[in-house]
Amino acid sequence: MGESARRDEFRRMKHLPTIKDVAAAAGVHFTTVSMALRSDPRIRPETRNRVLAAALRTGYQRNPVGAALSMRRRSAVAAKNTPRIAFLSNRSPENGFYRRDYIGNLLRGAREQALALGYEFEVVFVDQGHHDSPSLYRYLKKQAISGLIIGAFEPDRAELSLPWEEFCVVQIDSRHHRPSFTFVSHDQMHAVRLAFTNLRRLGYRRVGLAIGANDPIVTADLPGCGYLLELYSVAAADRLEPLLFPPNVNMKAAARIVSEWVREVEADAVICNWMMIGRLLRLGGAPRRVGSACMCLQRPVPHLAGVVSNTDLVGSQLTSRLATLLQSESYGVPAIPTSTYVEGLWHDGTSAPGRN
Amino acid sequence: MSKAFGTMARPRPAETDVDSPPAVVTMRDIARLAGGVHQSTVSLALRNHPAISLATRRHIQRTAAAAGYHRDPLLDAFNERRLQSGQRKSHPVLAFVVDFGHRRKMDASPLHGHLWHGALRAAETLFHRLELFLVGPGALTPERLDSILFTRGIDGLIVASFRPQTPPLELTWKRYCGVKIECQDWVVPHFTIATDLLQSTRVAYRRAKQLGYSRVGLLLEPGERARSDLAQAGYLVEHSPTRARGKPLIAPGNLSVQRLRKWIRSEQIDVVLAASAATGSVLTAAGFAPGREIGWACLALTEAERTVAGLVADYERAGALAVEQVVSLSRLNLRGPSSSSMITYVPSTWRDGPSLPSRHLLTTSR
Repeated sequence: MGESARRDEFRRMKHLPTIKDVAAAAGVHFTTVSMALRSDPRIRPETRNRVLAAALRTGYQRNPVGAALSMRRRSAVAAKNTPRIAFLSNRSPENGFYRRDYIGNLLRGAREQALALGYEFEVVFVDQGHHDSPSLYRYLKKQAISGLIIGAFEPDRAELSLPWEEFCVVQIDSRHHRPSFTFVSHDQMHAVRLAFTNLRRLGYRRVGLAIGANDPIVTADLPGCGYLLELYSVAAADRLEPLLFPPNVNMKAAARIVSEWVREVEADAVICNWMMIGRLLRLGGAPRRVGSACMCLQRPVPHLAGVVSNTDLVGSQLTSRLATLLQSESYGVPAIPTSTYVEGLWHDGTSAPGRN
Repeated sequence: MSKAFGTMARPRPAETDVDSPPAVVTMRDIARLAGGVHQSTVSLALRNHPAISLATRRHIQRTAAAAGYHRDPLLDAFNERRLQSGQRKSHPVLAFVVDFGHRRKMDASPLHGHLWHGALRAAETLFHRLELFLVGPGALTPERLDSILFTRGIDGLIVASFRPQTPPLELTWKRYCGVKIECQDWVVPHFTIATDLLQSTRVAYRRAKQLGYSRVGLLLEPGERARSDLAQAGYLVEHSPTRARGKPLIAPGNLSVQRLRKWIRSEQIDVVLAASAATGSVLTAAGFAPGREIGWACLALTEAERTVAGLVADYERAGALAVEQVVSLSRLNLRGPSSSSMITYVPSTWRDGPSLPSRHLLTTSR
């Protein structure tokens, strides 16, 4: 058969080829195909070769579901290949992956949901000393992993490039990541608004926002949107321009920058996504009456006011969305990626006592 | 070649204990280990079904975890294939609830038509059946709906974009795996699917600027707090008030015709953004012909509306997502209030239209 005729044959084939298609192509009965593919000795070698050639030509593949099922029914042993989900990060443990406090909650939520739905779950790193894109691709194929969670890929670190059409993908944060996939995250816009309104309720009048310079890129500027919206509801004189920390700033410099800014704009409270905001203000010598709140706490802390994120739910949603994609065989880059946001809850703390 | 295929040959059953993989832990084993409960109790408990007391559920779930039992997605997938071949007669039913007194009224709403069709398709893919329930004057009261759903054992429920004047649906929410489409100001159900008005407003603002408009006005939606907030946030972030572009031009959507005219005149607004599709006729009533004397872009268009520029919302996708969400909740039997509220935004796509020509084509020059 010529190359073009073969292509035509493929084009006509709208469904996945079955052993009946192979049988038709080889001119034998389908039970012969079944036996030939299992190398049953009752089939003559020349017939088997003919069937194998036809199987290759039609692109026949064993249905892994059916095959796994029938194999297990026969042998009644545990399945070796539980489908797996890989959580990818471009920050390796050597570079502090597990030191980030939200990672623990995120992984727990994602892993527990994966187990509840019957998937195995593993964390894979794309970073120096670990995988790059080509080796990651080989690994995923070898392990037959088709469900991926792009977990908080940071800008200015290793990038990821895979033949996406072979994978079902969801992502958390990393809004700058191209292409964009089904997205799940904390509701940072809601968190800033919640912090802002609560600080106002506690009597603070000039509430500022301080975030890292990369954050608007990673979060599609959602904290900024929430902040602008709240500013719009207060008197024009109380609207402060947000502070952007330069990228990779060290603690000492951050303390100086935020304290200078607090004095300059006369802020009486600061919303920040860092838990150490209270310490930074003390360290930099900002006035003691300046309150502070963290917009992404991982658990309620008595000394720190702020919004406690439901990171477990973010993690379990990541897995749920991915399981839905895997189940409906939605591979590749979605035409319209959706975004899911999980709201947090406000907790009072001594870093922002009532002004009265 | 035969070698390559040889690996696919049926594996011989393991002959030695050393090589043999561990035996499958079945629900029967768990039933025995959990102290002699029935296998069906185990099945229900592992699906977190409320028919089993919480204490028993936890006990069985812990036993199963300790014994190394886990759900088999291959079998799940196989079961779904099996269902596909039509052997099973009844699929679980999901309730699709709208606030129309009559089916005809729902059919007259393109938005609800899209939601319904999207939801229907997703339900089919996931082997559920979608059933329409009408709540409102001349149809079911919430109490009646509650008791019908209870009697029929329906626990998956989608609130499909109730209109803002309709009060929040009062049901025994703890019984349901519920998702609402729009209705963002309601507290329950905690899971929401909505169009991304924040992004829509950003896109519309930028497109208007590209087309040469300079005074962009935003009309909010009366009675829709959360949606108005999103539109406002999108507007503000594009407008960047702190970078001295002048004050934001935002007005409540329930202005009288006279006050709307006055607002447009005094602020010299040359383009109006709004989510409500009725804004076009309001502008006309105020004496500004859209597309000739003033630009107008709608932030939430349906597919069929071709005369207005703006963002076409993918309501079919929204309907489908609602079904996917409810099914994934009911698969794990997560009923009632969640630990947190959660919202999924469906993005819209921009479409040019005669209501928003290039700025220089408007007859008015301000």
